[in-house]
Amino acid sequence: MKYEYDNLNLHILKNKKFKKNIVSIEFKRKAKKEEMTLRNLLSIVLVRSCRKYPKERDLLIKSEELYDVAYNSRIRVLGWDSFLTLSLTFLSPKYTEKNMFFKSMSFLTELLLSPNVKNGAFDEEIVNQAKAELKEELLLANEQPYYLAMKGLLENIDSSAPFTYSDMGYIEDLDNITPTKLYDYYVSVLDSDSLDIFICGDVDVLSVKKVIKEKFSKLNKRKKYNENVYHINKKTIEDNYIVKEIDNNQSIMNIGFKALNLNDFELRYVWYVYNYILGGSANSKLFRDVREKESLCYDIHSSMENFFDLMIISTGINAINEKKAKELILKSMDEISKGHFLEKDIKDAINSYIYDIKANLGTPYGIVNLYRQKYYFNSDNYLLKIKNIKKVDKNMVIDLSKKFKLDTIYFLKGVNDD
Amino acid sequence: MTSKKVKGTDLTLYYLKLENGLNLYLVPNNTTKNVFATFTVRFGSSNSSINNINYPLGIAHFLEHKLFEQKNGIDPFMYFAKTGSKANAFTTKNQTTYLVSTSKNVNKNIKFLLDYVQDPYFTKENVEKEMGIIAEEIKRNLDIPLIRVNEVAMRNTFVNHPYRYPVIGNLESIKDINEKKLYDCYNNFYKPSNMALIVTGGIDVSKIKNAIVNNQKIKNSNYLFTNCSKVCIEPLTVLNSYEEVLMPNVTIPKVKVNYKISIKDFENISFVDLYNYIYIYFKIKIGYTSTFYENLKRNNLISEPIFPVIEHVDDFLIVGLLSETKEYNKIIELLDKELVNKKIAVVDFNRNKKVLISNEILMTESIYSINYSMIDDFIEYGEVIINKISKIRALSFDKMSYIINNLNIENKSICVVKGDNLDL
Repeated sequence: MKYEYDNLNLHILKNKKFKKNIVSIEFKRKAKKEEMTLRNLLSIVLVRSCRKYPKERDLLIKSEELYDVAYNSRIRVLGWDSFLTLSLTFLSPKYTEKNMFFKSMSFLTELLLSPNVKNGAFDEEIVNQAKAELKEELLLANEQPYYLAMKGLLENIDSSAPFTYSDMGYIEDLDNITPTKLYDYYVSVLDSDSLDIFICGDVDVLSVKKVIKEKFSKLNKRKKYNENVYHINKKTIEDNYIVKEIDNNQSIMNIGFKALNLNDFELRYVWYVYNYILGGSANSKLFRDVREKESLCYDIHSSMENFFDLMIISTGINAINEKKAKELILKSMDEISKGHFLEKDIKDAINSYIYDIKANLGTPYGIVNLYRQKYYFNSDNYLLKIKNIKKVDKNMVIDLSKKFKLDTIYFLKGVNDD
Repeated sequence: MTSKKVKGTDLTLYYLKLENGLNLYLVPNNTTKNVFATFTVRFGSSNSSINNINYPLGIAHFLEHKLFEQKNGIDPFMYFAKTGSKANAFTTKNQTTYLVSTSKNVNKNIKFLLDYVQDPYFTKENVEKEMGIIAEEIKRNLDIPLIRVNEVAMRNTFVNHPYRYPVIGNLESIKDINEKKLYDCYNNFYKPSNMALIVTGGIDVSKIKNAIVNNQKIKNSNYLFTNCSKVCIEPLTVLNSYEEVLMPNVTIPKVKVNYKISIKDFENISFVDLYNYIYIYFKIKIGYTSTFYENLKRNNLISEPIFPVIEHVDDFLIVGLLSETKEYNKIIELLDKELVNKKIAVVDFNRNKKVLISNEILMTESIYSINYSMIDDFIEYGEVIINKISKIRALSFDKMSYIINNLNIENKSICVVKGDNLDL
């Protein structure tokens, strides 16, 4: 049930069967590379300190006292949308004590709406600690071979696209961010980002509405924001082959394919089936052809970047098998284009899709996800999804497979090979 | 079949020991149609000997991979995919678990799970083929610094116990695996009495029980499992108290500290309680709500909290602490200082009891969490513990103080993984 106010949209997904309540406060604006670090730093600072509990330790102790309420913040870029999310999970009051709903909600809104701010600036020590945390997170990410390989691929496909924007931000931006600048950014987020609040669990609708209205009444009204999130890829094919050496035992091959001119049904349904058959499970063509038959790898899979019409095939191999792995992968794809797969494979994909929906319906997070997809990205409701996926047939899969063109290969070559 | 309420929750546990010894646990949850079934054997990488014969490192994990081969050629992944179900398996130091998540044709899928695990088919050819696959899995792990720091610390913590070796083995050891050795291990360990089938979710208890009983009827095993693993003499001291490892591409050093604690000092305390007392102690002293963490963070020595992880190995509890920081030397020094001061506050102790209880209740929401928790109990105790919440409530500050004062944390093994790049 959606409730639209001037300054926010409230979505209450009441469900008696869940023991936990989950709350997700989501700010959304267009992704800008130069804002990623600011946005991320803000997301960290907001959950480390607030006016009522300026010391992080006191905040953490309070959360434990509230029956271990769990809270965190997150930045995600989906398409052109940049989300800053604050979320909260707690046991339904019927398992803890009366008034816990109000107390838990207040805990979260304290963090968001009553931050530790003096003279138009966040607390300097907290900001410095957050910077140290962010810097470390970035350095650690760059130690991971799979992260490096994916970053390398995406940057070579289209270095200006939002899928290359670091969710974590950039180390070189940190020095320029002052506690005042961060506070100004916070004010602009509260003032102008679109704001949606999702609440799922065995909740009392009237109480929820009352709490939200009370806590968020001071926020300004804002314009509705909607940006086209699909089909934003550069239409040209790069045709790049990049090899980067790294002092590792294993090599990682990432191949990016661009799909040209996908229609809506292909984007939302056919592609899932194609991806499943090609490399979306331990039952897939790539798994059988490259791993099981040739023993070339342990990991191999294909993934869909729906917002960018991009398909990525990723595998960890021995450097000497670079050519062989690439040839086998392209051969497997070619065979699908020629129709060398079974009706049974399509049925399996459809069943997997339906199972995923059922699995989502069984958890509060899953229910919010299904709802969110429909709300933000206009996906069909789950009953229609199930109806539509069953329409996918062999010809559709073959037609779709022909639309993918090889754009870039990024080979992170391990040279420390025994 | 017995049924017991899991105290403090709305769950009921059904248990039956089948005629062939198989342990069956069922926990219905009628708020969902989804079902999660796990089939576990108490055979992991640390059970690497039978009657004083040592088997190659990594054999339990290799066997797990090979059980997916079927003589009749029906690939389990393909079979489960027909109903959109998700299948997988994993091996740890103490167990191998085969699992399936499903919401359609539940009984059939569970029977298939039992059938494929209980029907081994190892050949020279299919073993040969797996070598390349597992070699790539090993190489992937070799490039991950957090895996390395944990492996080296554990290797140095034990002198004799096979727990010191990584689950997956190494590139040399897997070459020694052949089909005969796989059959030896399978026949010795994969006996129904050494195994548990645990099913949670939207199930009809009597229908499932009947389906399983009928399926297992023809699989009678006259041989009860007897533990013929080598008895291991393990000293109180660690093998090596400090080791540094250089790895490429590491910019922030990782430090792992393993405290080797003898359980023999606390024989009069139940293990369930001892585990909780020691966990709470470490959490209060050095966890995310500690003044230790607050001070380290304020002085820029650390950015993320340390979470204690406890592993039980024969007569020892290994308490593992992991941190990623440039100031690892300082951390090590300050950890020692903090843990030697054995004072804790009652208010912290009580609050942590509350946290543990909340988490026990929260966990009952997920058919996966419940299942995994039962597997852990089966491995550790040979049965599922149903009074965890009341045991937590009964933890006393006096007992806590007694344990802390008798806690010997002198035996520890530290591993530091740092970059081989000199200018960082």
